[in-house]
Amino acid sequence: MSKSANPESRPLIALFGSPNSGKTSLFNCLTGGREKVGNYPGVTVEKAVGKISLPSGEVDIVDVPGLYSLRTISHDEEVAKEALLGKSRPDLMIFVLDAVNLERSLFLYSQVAEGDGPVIAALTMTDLAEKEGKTIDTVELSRRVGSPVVPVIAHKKIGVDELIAAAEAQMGEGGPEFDLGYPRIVSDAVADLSIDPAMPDIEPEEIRAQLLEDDAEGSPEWKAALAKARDELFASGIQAKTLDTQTRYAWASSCVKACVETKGQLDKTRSQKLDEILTHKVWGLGVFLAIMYAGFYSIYALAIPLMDLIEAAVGAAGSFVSPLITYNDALRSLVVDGVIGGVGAALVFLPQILILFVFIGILEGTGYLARASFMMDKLLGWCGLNGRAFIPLLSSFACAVPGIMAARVMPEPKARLATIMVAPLMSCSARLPVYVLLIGAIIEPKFGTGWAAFALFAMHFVGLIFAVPVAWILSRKILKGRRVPFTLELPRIQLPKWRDIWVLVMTRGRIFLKTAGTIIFFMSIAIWWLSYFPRSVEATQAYELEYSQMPYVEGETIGFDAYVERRQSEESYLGRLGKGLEPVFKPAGFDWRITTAILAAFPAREVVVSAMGILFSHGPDEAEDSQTLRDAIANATWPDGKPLLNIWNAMGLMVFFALCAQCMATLATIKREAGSWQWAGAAFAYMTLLAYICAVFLNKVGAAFG
Amino acid sequence: MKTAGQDLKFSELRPGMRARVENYASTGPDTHRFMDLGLVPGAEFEVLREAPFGGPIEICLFGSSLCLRRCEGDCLLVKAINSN
Ligand SMILES: Nc1nc2c(ncn2[C@@H]2O[C@H](COP(=O)(O)OP(=O)(O)O)[C@@H](O)[C@H]2O)c(=O)[nH]1
Repeated sequence: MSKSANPESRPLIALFGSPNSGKTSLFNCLTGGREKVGNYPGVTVEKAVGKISLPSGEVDIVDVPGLYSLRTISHDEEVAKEALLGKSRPDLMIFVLDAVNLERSLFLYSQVAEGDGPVIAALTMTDLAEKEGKTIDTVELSRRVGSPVVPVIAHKKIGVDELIAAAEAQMGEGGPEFDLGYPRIVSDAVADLSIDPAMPDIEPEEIRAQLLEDDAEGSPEWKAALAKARDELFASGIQAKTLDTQTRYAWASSCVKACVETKGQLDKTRSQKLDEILTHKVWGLGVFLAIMYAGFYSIYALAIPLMDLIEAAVGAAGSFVSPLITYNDALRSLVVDGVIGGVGAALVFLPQILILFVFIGILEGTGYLARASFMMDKLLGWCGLNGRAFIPLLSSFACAVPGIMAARVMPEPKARLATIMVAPLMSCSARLPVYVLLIGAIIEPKFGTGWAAFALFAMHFVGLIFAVPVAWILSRKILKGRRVPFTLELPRIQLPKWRDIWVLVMTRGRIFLKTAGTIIFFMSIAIWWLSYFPRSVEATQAYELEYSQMPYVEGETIGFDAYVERRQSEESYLGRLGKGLEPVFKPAGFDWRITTAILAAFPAREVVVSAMGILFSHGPDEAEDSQTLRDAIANATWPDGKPLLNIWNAMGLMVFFALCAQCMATLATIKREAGSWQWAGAAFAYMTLLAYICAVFLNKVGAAFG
Repeated sequence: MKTAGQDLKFSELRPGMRARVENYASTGPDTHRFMDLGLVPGAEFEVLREAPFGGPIEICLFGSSLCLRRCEGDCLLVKAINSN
């Protein structure tokens, strides 16, 4: 192996190709699925790095984000360009040529391979091309593109050894030679320009690019010379702006014509026949609804028992450990409620994430995901999102965490960010206990079961109604950056490759545990600390004394332990904070108990039920459908004896929980997926503000009409 | 009925029609992206289908599929060619 661009470290191979070309499959196959996924500095684009062993030693391989062109439009493409032309240039490029999209692949190849680094081409999807009656002459192709072409089928491990051998042989060689065949007049203009005295010291290819692309750098004289040459081209009927792309595509088409042989006139392929149903205006929608229903039903049906299992295991671990720590109450509570509870709070998301990504993997692997996006684009497009936002938003009805992670299927940075920011408004399953508790306590007794059911149904639309204007404002007014037109390719329909799905699911699960999981864990401990301390023997004794001096009232007096616990949480830092913040929430009709419950539920909404259980004095183990807790809430009063919750501020409280961002896991996931805490902070701020305003509004309406 | 040889807007194309890209009405990131995907002047394609609710249009270009929104596709100037 000759000189390396990274003298200190191992040689670097970069994998280039357009989206959907089979790049990820090949990368997984070369690295055995053992990749490290991080982020490119400063951007949200993920960077996957792995190792492969060549006969001469180990080399690093980096999966460059898929791109359509080096004329950068999106983040991904900027990252890809940087990987090609930036500081750490690869020692070898493996370019993925997609056999069923050969023109498009070759167009990109013509841009990427123009440098002087060695290139080998991996020809993927040859099995699909064969099914369509196409045979590709790889010898001729490799002669035309100027670098070795190796056919590979990653999931069958075909051609991988040959690819590695070619990589070894090509290391340290020069760049490929190929002639794009620009019109004579262009080469002449370039030749003239290259002897212009104002020319900066650049290669002829660079002169040509500057001439055609109109992005000259250099002295005013040089720019003037370029402009003059461009005018001359224009005068002879050549449109400089489209010429470069046209020439490259003409070259690509000529390669395809020379190297691809199609046997006769083919019948429609199976994929095309299937598409007539799958994307049909009527049948297609029916199939779509059926697939989504089946998919999300199975996520629900499979995840709930697993989540129950995790919760049971965490509970069992708590009860097992609890009696072992006898010497210190605070330590026991830290271990049981803080540490074990925190681990549980993070782990409980895992089943949904894993199962959702199996579902997404199947949709992606079969090619159906693109069809769903195709059909949903109009519905989502008018508020600035696009069809690809469908899966992330729908998933968010189960849980925003996997939903936000699923926004990875969207390559358009603006639409993706807007989707991430509105996804937490979808009514996730953690809101359900809050709705059930309040509807059961306030609405059902007054209005009956029919209205209670309707209220529960309606609550699921509250977030959706707000998501539309929020998405619109974000994508039209706030998010900067170029708008990328929505383009979508429908890949051939085929059976999914289970190995790729496995790698996808494992990678996402690992990323969740590493980033969101650790933050959830530490936040749980922080909230535990705030609600446990300060606590002293003297104070506890004082509460016990208070209890013994209280007159006993049948049906109202609560148990001794519950009383002490209520007093302890009232006097904790969190309880004091709740009391201090009561004036803030008073306009919404919330007292300090509700305020404290809202604060305690900061890491996770559903905690509000157990927090209200403690604060309204029935102990923390109340379920949302417990009648005693419902009664306690329905009968709770302000100090002056007025009922605490009426229909209006109870609705306000539900709407507050529908709109607020009380979920640390979601915020941590936004941070990871959007790339900075700023976005997580912005989501928290706008959602909390929205929630607060709506709650106050409902309370004021109630006061006016009530 | 639109006939061969007629200049059309992209959004006027119907499934089953064949068309050729003549030129672009404007230049900008949109047109760059479309050209990069192969919709260069002179390229010929077939309209496969339309999405429900007036959504995107799927075309077949170089034997593979590509979907564009009607409104965004209208920066393309196309000519209907014989749709046999
Ligand atoms: N039939 C076939 N399918 C492939 C091949 N390579 C990849 N795929 C499938 O094509 C789809 C897109 O591949 P992927 O690696 O995700 O593409 P990327 O977007 O370029 O990373 C996936 O469903 C793969 O399983 C191949 O050589 N033959």
